Amino acid sequence: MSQFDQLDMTVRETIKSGRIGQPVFVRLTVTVEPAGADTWAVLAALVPAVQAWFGVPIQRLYAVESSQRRHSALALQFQGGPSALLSSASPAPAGTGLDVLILGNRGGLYHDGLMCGAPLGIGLTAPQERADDPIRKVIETSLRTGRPQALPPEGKP
Amino acid sequence: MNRTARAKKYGVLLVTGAQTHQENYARAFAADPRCRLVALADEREISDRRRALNERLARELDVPHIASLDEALKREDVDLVSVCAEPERRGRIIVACAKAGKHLYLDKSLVPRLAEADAIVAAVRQAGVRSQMFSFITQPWARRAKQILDSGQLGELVAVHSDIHFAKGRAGTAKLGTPRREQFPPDAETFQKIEAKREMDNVAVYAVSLVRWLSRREYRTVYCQTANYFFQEHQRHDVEDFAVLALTMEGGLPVTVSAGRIGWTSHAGSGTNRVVLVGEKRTLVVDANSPRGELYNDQPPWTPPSVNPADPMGFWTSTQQEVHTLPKPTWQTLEAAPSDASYFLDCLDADRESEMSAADAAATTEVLLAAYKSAAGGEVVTLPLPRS
Repeated sequence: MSQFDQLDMTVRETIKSGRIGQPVFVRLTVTVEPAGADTWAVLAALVPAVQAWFGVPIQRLYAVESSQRRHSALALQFQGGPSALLSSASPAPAGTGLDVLILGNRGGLYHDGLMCGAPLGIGLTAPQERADDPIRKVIETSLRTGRPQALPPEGKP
Repeated sequence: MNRTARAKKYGVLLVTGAQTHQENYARAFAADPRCRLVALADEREISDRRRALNERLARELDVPHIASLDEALKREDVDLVSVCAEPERRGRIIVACAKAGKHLYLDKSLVPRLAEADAIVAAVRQAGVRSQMFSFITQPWARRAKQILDSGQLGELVAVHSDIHFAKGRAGTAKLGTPRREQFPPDAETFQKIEAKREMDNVAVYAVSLVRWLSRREYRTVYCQTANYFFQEHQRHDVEDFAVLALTMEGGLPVTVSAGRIGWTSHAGSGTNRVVLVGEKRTLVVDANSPRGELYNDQPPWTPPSVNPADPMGFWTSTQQEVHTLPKPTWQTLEAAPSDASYFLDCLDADRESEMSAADAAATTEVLLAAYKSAAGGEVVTLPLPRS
């Protein structure tokens, strides 16, 4: 089981236990290898997991990136109000790492793993799949227009 | 106004008293041997409650209470003014103090209106006085981040992320399920209610000013979502308790920020205070809570204090002492933070500008107002904001 799979399971169990109350905010920061990796592919792969933690669809998405796409960030708003900031960087030779901060309305869950160097286990999809990924299309639209994008009620483009 | 040349102490006038951050700022100035507290003053037309609170802090500090700010500003033994008036009164007070030729130590955030921020910058420039807004830039962890960034170890900055959360207040009482509807411009009277303060303004000010100081760049675009996640008090007063921001700076540098008040029991310490600097060579996480000591023993676990109706969100030192708030015992800070006020006195001694001057504070105010505008309209806002 990968580092992210283990984390995902822990988060789901914690939320289900009610120990942090209802999740309202997620901050997820990852660094990935190799340098120049597709940081948007990483974020697109993480979005479904974060959406599952909230249990509600994405309502709004805003994407920003650095020059040469060495860094990508998403601001997400979910149906009913929860929000998330997801970011991904591929700076050489930082290695891989993953930080997660989840706030519930009655508690918080913290995982400081940005500098730990463990493999994340987040699959980078092939170029053809990337083009077909519906979240990637919304991200590309947000980047192209420089504006947040509303998603339909079911949260899928 | 060099202190060595003057060979006398800086005379400090306090504007506004108890149940403001003046409780801390005044004592920081009083603790510095370069200073002498002269008096506590305020505008004549203030509420009975505010007057009583002013008189209370004056008594505690054993300084005279002067009912007229105008009269107090005429005193030649006043060199600098520490201004902690409520946000809606702050702008005109700061301008008056600058015009009187007094140096300015300013509570954060600066003001709730852009025109006031501009007027302050102009007044400070015209008067030739020094100024500083309270911020995190004098904290050891922030200085550490600056030092490493300036050393070139990270390479060119690629992105910056900052999370500033205050673990105070009894969370879990907000009604969830409906996204917050923000208003622009925000009503200046809503920034600092007794029960609830606007937490985006109150907390994001630290992150926005810190990242600007670290990067030496100006913000260009702002996207923001404000929220009511934790407290019924904030919902009742229609002010936010949390916000997320996605910004860009000069050169397209992406910045993300989360900021707000999250509840006493949602963090092991006083809340996440950190910045992540993503460079082309290295990524650096600088955290106010790290390095730290951790203490575990058989004493009963820490419990939140009783709610003080005069300050349910735990803002002020005095109101928290009234309900016997104890420090959380597990995480132990290892770095002693110097006084932000002392840093300002260093600037006065050296006759140099503070790194968080009124102009820097005004630039931060503009970003925060742009954030409210973005949250209200659901769109990205470009800086600078238009002037009417």
